[in-house]
Amino acid sequence: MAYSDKVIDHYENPRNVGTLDKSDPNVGTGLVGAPACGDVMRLQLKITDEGVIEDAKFKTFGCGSAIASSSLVTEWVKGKTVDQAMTISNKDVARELALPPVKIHCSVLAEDAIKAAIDDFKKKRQARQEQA
Amino acid sequence: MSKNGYLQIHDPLKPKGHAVGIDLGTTNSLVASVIQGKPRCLVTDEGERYLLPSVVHYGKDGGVVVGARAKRLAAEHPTDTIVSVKRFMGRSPEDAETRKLGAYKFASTGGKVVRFEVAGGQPVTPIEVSGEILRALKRRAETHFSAKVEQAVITVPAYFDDAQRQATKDAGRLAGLEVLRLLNEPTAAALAYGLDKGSQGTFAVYDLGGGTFDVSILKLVEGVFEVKSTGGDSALGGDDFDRAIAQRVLEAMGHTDSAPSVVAEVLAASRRAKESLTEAPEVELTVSGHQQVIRREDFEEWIRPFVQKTGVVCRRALKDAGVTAEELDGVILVGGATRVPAVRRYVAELFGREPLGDIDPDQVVALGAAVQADLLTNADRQDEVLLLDVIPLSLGLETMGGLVEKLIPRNSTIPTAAGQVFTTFKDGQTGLDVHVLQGERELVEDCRSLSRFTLSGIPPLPAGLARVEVRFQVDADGILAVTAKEQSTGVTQSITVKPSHGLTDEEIEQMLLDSIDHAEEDVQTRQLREQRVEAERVLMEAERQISENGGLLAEGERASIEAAMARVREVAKGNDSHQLKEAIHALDELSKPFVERVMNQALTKVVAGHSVEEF
Amino acid sequence: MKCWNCETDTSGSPFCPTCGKIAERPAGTSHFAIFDLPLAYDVDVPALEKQFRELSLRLHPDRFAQAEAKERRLSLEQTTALNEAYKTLREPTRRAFYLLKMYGVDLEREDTGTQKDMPFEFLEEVLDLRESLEDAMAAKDLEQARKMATDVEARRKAALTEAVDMLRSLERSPSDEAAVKKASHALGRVRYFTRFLEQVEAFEEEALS
Repeated sequence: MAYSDKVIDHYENPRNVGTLDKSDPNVGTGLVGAPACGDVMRLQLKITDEGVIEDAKFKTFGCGSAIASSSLVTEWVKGKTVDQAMTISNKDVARELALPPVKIHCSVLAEDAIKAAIDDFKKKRQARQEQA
Repeated sequence: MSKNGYLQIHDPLKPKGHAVGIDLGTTNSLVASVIQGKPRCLVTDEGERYLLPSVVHYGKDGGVVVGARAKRLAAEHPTDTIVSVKRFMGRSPEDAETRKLGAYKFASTGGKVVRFEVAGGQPVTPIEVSGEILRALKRRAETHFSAKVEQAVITVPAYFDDAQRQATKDAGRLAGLEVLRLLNEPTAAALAYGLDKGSQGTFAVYDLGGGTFDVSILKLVEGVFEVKSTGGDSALGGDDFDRAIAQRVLEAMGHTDSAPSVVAEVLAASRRAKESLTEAPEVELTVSGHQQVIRREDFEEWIRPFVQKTGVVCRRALKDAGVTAEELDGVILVGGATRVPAVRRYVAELFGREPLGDIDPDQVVALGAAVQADLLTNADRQDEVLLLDVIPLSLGLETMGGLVEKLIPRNSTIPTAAGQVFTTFKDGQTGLDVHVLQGERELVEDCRSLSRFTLSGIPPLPAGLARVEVRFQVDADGILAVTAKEQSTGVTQSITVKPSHGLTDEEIEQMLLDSIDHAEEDVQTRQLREQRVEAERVLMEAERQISENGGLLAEGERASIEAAMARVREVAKGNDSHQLKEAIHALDELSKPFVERVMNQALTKVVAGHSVEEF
Repeated sequence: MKCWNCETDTSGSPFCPTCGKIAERPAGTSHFAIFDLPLAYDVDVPALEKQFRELSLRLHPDRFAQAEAKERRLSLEQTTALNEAYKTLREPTRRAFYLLKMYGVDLEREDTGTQKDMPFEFLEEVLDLRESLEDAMAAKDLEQARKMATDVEARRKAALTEAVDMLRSLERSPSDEAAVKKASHALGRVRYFTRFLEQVEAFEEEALS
């Protein structure tokens, strides 16, 4: 348990908490849950037409590790391209936050949330293209 | 099995002697034992009846006095006389509880453990002070049985944390007792009731002592006492009521930063006022020439926040137990502070029924402890009754920078265990920090740190491959052992960590050695010491009265009293405790008429609205 | 398992049938086995309580206070396991989760990759519920929080009933994958609702103190 000093900070002062407009075509929403603890996490990404993530917001109801994990990934993804963001893995999150095995699922949740949000964005874009 | 550290030869044919139950209280302590099938509190040889005031006085000559005599010395020697030591057990100098109003002089040695500066030698720790109280109780029992007493069940508040329990156990060791079991006080009380009545059902035990509050919900069926839940506040008790009065009195006296002797005096007067208010609607408090009328109504207003705090704890305990107040079969009151009418009213209202109080709330815990001691040592009784207790506070580990992961939730029946697997985060990492915590909050800083250690010797492996299982085992005393095992390579390493209360094992060992010397001091010397302290007190009191109220002395009285005083001084230099006792008695008798006149005059003055000038 | 004292086969019973000494339990003895019960959801709780008391009376460390170190250790181990088993089986929700684990789905350990595929609509609903609760908490509206809790409690009960039905059907056909999945989804909902109710409780406690 090599503790990261930043971790507690992510829990006590989480970054990027909030909501983006779900109906905005450039916003992708990811929603994931963890039955192990009954927690839910919503992650939203605002992505430019060029595929760059310009904003990220999250709302997590859960334990400290889940909050810290989602706060951390919103910081990481900003400015990244969609493809870069897809490569973030739960292992990176777990390592950064020094999560013990029992809390690994929190980092998995964060990874899944990014993927789900990007997925949602892609679906929206596809639907738009099909309409056009 | 000797837990005392010195050799004992076990002879199965030799009777084990008497096992006793001890209620080590904040204000008073008691010792009880089962005699001819019935638990009974043992009476002291000093005419103090059941209650031994939990007060320890350290004299200039290194002598130690315990009990009522020590209590009488508290006003004269406030910082050399330790009262309410239980409040400090297992606590650090920084704890909020440690800093409450009180007449103590702390040694500034730093470190995690409280030490009191006292006369006659090195600063003493709360464990040593409690050890003295336990030793006095042990002597009381030995006198009663005219035989050695070496085994005891000692009660602790259910809400005591691990450090407080360890400290209590160590105090027992210092007193030369094998601690058969630390028993939760509410459970002990229920045991005393249960056996008395042969009852079945679900009971709430409301225990408001001098310094601690506990509530437990118990279910009794076919001889098994199952504690369903427990809750409490180990820093809330009748002492807070005293302080509530004392603070108002000190304010009225215009004191902002009072000398310890004044504080001690005001606290003592406040306690008496509180006790009188149980019967009287108002009481006049007189201290150091200051007078103040305390009305019960006001008193109840001042203590309301404390009383209401107990209600929050009770409701939580009911919820944890999964029962409602209506489902209870009875409510048992324990602890001297439950004599306060406002407390009784509150409890009756809270649980919707009149509480039971037919066993003396002061004795009930010690009686229950005696029953448990008998159950643990008397094979014939083993099929009758069993206690299933719980841990009062959750146990967890620090999982990541400052957060706590609970492994064992509060109110788990003990013994209990839980495990958690950890892994390494860096390639080649060979050590792992483990931080064990106790408490209900999510942040490490809000919980109590029990132990922090590093598991070393993990084989160097890529990150995430090592598997370290950290296992908690809580035994039937509620004491925790933590074991860490590395299991990835089949190489197993175990560390068993005993949570500490700020003292190292070496320090405890040294205290143990010192205490053995001390314990072997013969009765004669002890009595002499006690008489010398008593002599000092009596002489001081006489001098004070003569200088303050010399005008009330009858003709020739001064000379005869002074002669008797000289005689006491003379004999005190010698080694005959019996002679000294007689000399003290003679002085007492001789000054009686004078003291009575002083009292009468004081009363007249009070009535006339004058005040006696402070000495 | 051989008795440590007389080497008789103890066949998993708490005491050696020959010499009567307290025995070692094989590692991994199930909670049901400790009470001699079949792997089934329906448990007679009063009978379980009685059995727990009887076993406790014989196994508890208090019974071995003056015994040898070996027996004291075994008493501690057996009583620890007994307490854990009792706690799990006595309570319907815990019992259901434990049974599901016996069918291979451990909802306690999500790192093993099991089950995070709750329907999107359900998660959305949970998020809405949690947000409404957050608003009620911010407004110190205990009344509103309690109202929500009553509703969620009813849904929790319904989800548990659904899970229990599946677990009962699994007793007849243990390899029914679809039933395992249904049971785990239903218990997943139980978990989310329980978490919500815990939040309300914490809020109540804070508001009352």
